[in-house]
Amino acid sequence: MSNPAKIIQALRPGANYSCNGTEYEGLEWFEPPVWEGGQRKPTREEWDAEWERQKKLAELNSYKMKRMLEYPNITEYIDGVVKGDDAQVQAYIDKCNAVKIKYPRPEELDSL
Amino acid sequence: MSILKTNQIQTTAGKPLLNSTGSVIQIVSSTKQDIWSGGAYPNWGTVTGLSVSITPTSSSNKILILGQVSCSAGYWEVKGRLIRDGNAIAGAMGAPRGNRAVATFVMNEYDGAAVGYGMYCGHINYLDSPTTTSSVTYGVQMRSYNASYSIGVNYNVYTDDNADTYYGNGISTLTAIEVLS
Repeated sequence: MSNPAKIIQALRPGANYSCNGTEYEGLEWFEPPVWEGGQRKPTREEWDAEWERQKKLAELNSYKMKRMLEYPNITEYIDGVVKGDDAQVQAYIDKCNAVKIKYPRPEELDSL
Repeated sequence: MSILKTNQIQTTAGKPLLNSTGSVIQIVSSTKQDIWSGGAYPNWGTVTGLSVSITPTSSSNKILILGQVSCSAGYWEVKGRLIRDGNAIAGAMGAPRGNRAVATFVMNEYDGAAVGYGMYCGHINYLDSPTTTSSVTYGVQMRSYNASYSIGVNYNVYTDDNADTYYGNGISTLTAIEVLS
């Protein structure tokens, strides 16, 4: 099961295509010939390789959602600012930083 | 087993009950459960597996098209339009205004968050006059906001099916109803 839109977006951005279902077999290619400026239809190997990269990327990026679900409510920060309560503001920042440490950004993302 | 044959059934007030104006003659429907993607701007992509063919019994009859398209965009906006025999139906789209594209339904949203673009449900409710007794085929075409992104039908193109458990897939339907005119 793949995400054709993401695969084509990465391999051939802007290409005129239609893909029914999640697999390479469902891919129809409507681009003009390459010699007329069109983009070449990706091969199955390119498709599979890109999908593996996408899966890895999604896995590595999952830290964003995990962080988002555990960050404290922004109203705690706003409330602290409104009241001029520096301790409350700092507590909010500390909670955020604790979440960031709990779910670090994978360094491997820089190489993908 | 007996068969009752008659030309017309009326109410006590003399109003035809069957085969009167507005009666439903036939219904055909299509439900798409699997996903589709395509329609990167400026191309209109025809959604595979979401079409209905109907042969009107009279050229004066109307065809009521009802549909919903569960869809998403990789970026900013979704456009969809109803087509008949592969061609856009002018009356089923907005009036031209400046350089703006016209469509049957347009959904535009940006949630401003670091992740996630929403899924939408485009609705179609259009009374067509094909003026023919030949078979006509209705379908749906989609187009994205810019060339770098595609439209996803029945799933959110922004998300990853294998990695995310937060998001769901929907269905899309298209129904054609012949109405006596």
